[in-house]
Amino acid sequence: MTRLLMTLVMTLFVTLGFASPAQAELKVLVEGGGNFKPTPLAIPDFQVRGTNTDLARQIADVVRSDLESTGLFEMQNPASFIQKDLSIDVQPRFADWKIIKTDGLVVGSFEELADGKIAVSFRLWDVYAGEVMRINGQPGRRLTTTPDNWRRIAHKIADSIYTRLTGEDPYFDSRLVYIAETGPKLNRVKRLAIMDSDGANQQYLTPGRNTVLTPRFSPSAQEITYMSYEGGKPRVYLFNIETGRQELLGNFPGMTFAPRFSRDGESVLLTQAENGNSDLYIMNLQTRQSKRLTEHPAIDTSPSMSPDGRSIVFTSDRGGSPQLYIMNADKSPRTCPSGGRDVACRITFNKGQYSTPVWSPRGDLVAFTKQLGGKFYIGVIGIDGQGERLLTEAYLDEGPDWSPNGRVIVFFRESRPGAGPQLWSIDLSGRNERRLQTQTEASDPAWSPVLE
Amino acid sequence: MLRGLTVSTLVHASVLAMAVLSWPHQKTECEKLIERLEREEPGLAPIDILMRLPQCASSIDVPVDFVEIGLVTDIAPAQKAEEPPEEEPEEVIPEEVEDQPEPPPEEESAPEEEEVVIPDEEAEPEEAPKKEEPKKEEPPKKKEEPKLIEKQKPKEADDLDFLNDFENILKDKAQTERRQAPDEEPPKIDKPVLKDVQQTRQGAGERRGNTASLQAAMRRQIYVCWRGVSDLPPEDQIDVEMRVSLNRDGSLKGNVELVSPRSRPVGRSGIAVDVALRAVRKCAPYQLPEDDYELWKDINVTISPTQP
Repeated sequence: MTRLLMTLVMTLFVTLGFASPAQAELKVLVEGGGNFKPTPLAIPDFQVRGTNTDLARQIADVVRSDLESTGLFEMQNPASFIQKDLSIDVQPRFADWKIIKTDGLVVGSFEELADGKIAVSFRLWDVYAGEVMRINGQPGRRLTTTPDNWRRIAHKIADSIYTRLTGEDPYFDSRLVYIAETGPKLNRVKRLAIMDSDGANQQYLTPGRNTVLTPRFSPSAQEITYMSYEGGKPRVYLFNIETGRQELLGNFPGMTFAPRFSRDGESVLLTQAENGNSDLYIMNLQTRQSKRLTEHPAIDTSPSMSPDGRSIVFTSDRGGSPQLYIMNADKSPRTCPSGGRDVACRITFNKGQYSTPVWSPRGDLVAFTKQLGGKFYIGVIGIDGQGERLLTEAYLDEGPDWSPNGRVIVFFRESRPGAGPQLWSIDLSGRNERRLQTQTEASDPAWSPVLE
Repeated sequence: MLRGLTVSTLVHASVLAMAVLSWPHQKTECEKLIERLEREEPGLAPIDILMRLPQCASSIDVPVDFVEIGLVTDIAPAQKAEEPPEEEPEEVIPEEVEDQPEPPPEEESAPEEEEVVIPDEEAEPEEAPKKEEPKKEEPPKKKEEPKLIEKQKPKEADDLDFLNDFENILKDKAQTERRQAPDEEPPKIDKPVLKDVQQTRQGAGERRGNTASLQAAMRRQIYVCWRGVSDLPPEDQIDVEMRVSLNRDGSLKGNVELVSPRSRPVGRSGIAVDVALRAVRKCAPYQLPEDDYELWKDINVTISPTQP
C-alpha cells in the first residue's frame, strides 16, 4: 500500500518537477554594440618547396602587415605557436591554436615552378569552429605569378583573408597616386607619383617641369586626370600611366580644375572658371562633348558623382559660405532632405565650412574637408545630410579620397604651421589613423580601383 | 440533571472505549505478522517493520517516518529522472578534454568556477561519484555531505538505512530546508503531502530566480567574446539565434547549432553569423553553477547587435 502510494507520489512529482525545467530551455539575449578587439590571427611562415626561403618569408610578411594595417587584426607572436608541423594538406591541431586564443589560422605553401614562376597556396582555418573558411566557395586559394610581382601575390592573399573575415570588398592590391613635393617654398617642385597601397614601389610619373595638382584615378586604373599648369594656365589633363602620355581635356576658354572621373569612367566632371564665376561641367570622353551642369553666380566646384551616376555632390558658396550640395546629374529638381524641391539641395547645416566632397564607392556617405575655428577636419555625412561624423582633426587636414571598398579614407595633413604635407589614412570607424610613408613630402592622394 | 448527564456521558464513553479496546482482539493478518516479527526480532523500529511488511503499512503506526518518506519521495523523482542525462555528458567530457588539450586557458577560469559551484553542489555527490573522481570539485562536495546528513539525524536516526536509497534526494531536500525558515518543520506530521507540495513550489520559485542570474552570467560571458558588427552596414547587422548544448564543466557539447538564420547567409550578413558563432564558441567553457546544470545544459542564445 505504502509502496503503491510512494510510486504514485513519485510519478506525480516526476511529471511536475521534471517537466517544467526540461521544457524551458534557458534563453539568453546578448545585446549591444559588442566588445571590439582586433581579431587575433596566426600567419606562420609558409612551407617552402624550393630554395627561395627569403621570398616566401617576405610574402608572408606583407600579408601580415597588410592585415595589421587595417587595425582590425592582431598578428599572433610566432614564438607562441605550439604546432610547428603545419602542412597545407593536413588539418591543423585546433587545440594548439585555441591555447593561444587565435581566431583564424592561415596555412600557406610556397613553390617555385618549373617555368620560373612562383605559386603560393593557402588555407584559412576557423580555429574555434574547427573548419576551413571557404573563399569564393573554395577551401583554399592558389596564386601564381612571376617572382618580381611577388608583392601582388601577398596583397591578393591579404585581400582574400580580409574579405572573408570582414565581408568588405578587397583593397590591398591597389595603388595610390599623389603629388610629391620637393624644394623650397618659393620654388616648389610638384610631381605626380604613384605607389602601392602599402607604400611600396614608389615612382614619379611626371618630371616636375610643370606643377600638377589633384590627380584622380579612372575606374580602369590606367588613366589619371589632373590639373596641370602647363603653358602657365591651370587646365585639366588626362594622363596614361602605362604610356606616360598627357593629353589636354577639352577646349575650355577658361581655367579648368577639380576634375574627377564619373563612376563608369566614360566622363570627367570638372569646374571651369570664366569671368570670375565657377560652374560645373561634365565631358564625355568618347564624344568630347561637354555639358554645363550649374549656372549660378556663386562658386560651384569639386563635383563628385554617386556610384549610380544619377547624382552629383559639390561645393558651393551660394548660401554665403562654402557648403555641400547634391544635384541630379540631369539637372532635374529633387526633393531636398531639408524640405522643398530644388535643383541643388544643401546637405550640410552644422557650423563650419565644407569642401572637397567625395561620394563613397558604397553610395551612402560623402567624405569632406571641414574648416572650423582654425582647425581642419576630415569627416563623413549621409547623403541625406544626417549623421555627420568627424574622423580626424589637425592644423590642416584636406583632400579626402576613398579606398576602392569605401572603408578607408586617405588625405593629407600639415600637422603644424610650416610643417610639410604628409599622407595619412583613417578608417571609417575612426579607430585606425595611420601615416603612409612617402619618400618626399606629399599631398593630394587618390586611390586606384583594385587591380585585376 | 447535570449529574445524570455526566453519568450518561461516562457510561457512553466507557461503552465506546470497551468497543474500541476489544476490536483489536480480532487480529488482522497484518497484526499477526507484525506481532510475530516483533517477537522474532525484538527492538525493531516501526520503520523497519514497515520495510519488512510494506503490505501492512496501514497497520503500522509510524507517522513521523512516513512524513519524512513522503518528503523524500517528493523531491526524489525530479532528481532521479534528471540523473541519466547528466551521466552522459560526464562521460563525454574527459574524452573531449583528452582530444583537445586546452587546459591552460581553462585553468585560469577554474578557480572562479569552483567558488561559484561548491556551495550549491550538494545534490551531486552520489549521482556520479565514480565518474567525477578525476574532477577537482569532488573534495569540496564530500565535505558538504556529512553536514547534510547530520541535519537529518536528530529526527530520524532510525530511518537512515531506508533513506540511504535516497541520499542524494535528502541532500537536495536539506539544501532546500537550509534556504527555508526552520519554523516550517513542525507541521510536517499533520499534513505531509501538502507540506511536500509547498516545498516543491518553493524550489521552483528559486529556480526561476536562478534562471535570471544564469541568463545574466551567460550574457556577461558571451559579451566579452563578441566583437560586434558595427562595421557592417545596418541592414547586415542581423540577429543570430543559436542553440548551445553544454557539458557539466561548461564546455560545448558538440557544435553550436544555428536556429535563425538557419544557415550562414551569403553576403555581408554572413559575417554577423560568423562573429556570433565565434563569440559563443570562443568563450566556452562557461562558468555556471554546476548545481543548476539541468537549467543550462541547453541554452538558446540570441546575439542582437543594437545600433548606436
